[in-house]
Amino acid sequence: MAQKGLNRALALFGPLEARIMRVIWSGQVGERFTVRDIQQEMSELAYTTIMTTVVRLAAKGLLHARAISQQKAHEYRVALTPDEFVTRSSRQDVAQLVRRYGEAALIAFAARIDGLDPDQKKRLRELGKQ
Amino acid sequence: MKRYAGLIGGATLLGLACGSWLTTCRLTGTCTSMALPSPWPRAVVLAGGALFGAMTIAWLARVVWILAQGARAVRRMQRTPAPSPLAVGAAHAGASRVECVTVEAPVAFCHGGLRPSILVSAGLLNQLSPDELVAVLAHEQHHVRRRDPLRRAMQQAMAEVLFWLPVIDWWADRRREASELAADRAAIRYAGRSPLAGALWKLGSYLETQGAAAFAGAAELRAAQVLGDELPGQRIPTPLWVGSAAGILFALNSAWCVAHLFGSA
Repeated sequence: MAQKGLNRALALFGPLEARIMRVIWSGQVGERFTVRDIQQEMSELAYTTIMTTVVRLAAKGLLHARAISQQKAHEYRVALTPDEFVTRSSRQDVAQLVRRYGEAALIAFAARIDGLDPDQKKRLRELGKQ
Repeated sequence: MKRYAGLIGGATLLGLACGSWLTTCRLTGTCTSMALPSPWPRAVVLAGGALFGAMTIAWLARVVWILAQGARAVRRMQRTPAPSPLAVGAAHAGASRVECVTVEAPVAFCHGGLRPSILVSAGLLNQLSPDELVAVLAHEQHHVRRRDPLRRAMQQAMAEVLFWLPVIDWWADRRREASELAADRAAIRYAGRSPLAGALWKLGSYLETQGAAAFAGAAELRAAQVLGDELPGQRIPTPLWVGSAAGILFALNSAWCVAHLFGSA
């Protein structure tokens, strides 16, 4: 089951991000890790390539980054489990869907009610409760 | 997207008009001040046909694009077998093609060009009562029956291609509102006013928290209809008439320019 969740989450990434997140989520690096730790697991990739991808993953909210004092390097830890990431992605998908296709090819049921006048709002809520 | 299409279309027309002014009039005035293109009327017919053909192709391409974008977005959503409350609700609402997606947000929509279907989120099933679910499904089923996704894509694409006629954009908005009101009347017939009001309230409140501006649309009219209030009349605003008249002049001028290009070719 955990493996299935992991694969579902990894399918939402590009190839390089997926490889790095697999290493992180499957515990091949410690709870707190640096770019160097990841590179030891995938030595065929250049340090800078991994660093760029890790920074991008942190910018997407998948990793927490913390500067290591006296050093240039950052220490990272994972911010979301694979399941949490899948849930967050579907939420974003819907929000994006709503924004982009709201009134074109996808005809959604909902309409925003915050533009209604207070009296109409109150009556709508009461009618809905009957 | 609408804005971009408008800008690109505007720039193309402007380029076309300016280009023909440059080649034919040497910037001495607009094309309508020029003599009849020669050979008349073949050049005019050819120019009219070319412009009409270009607009038709642009319109068709845009319709396909809108539908393809929607289909791609829908394909990415993860399906789950329809739970029994959904199957029961669909049977009550007369909806046959209904799928469920594993999404927490309460959403329901109709999609697809030639064979539209309904997509309902698992989150929606958790939030709505059985009657409210029937109201939502009956509303969406009405869109399915009328193939509204295709109609809307066609209307939106037409408003974008004919951006120089702002009255078309206004007309597309009114069609959209009319189709929502008609779908709501179907929901009232199947489930009653109260469940529809409940569903509108719950899903509308969710959108309010999400700041989904795209749905601002027909909320006032839909609320007025379900509450039994009088619906406001719709008149085309004067600036739209004026803008559209200017657009027609611009289009005629451009067509005249193109006719001269054909004539001299």
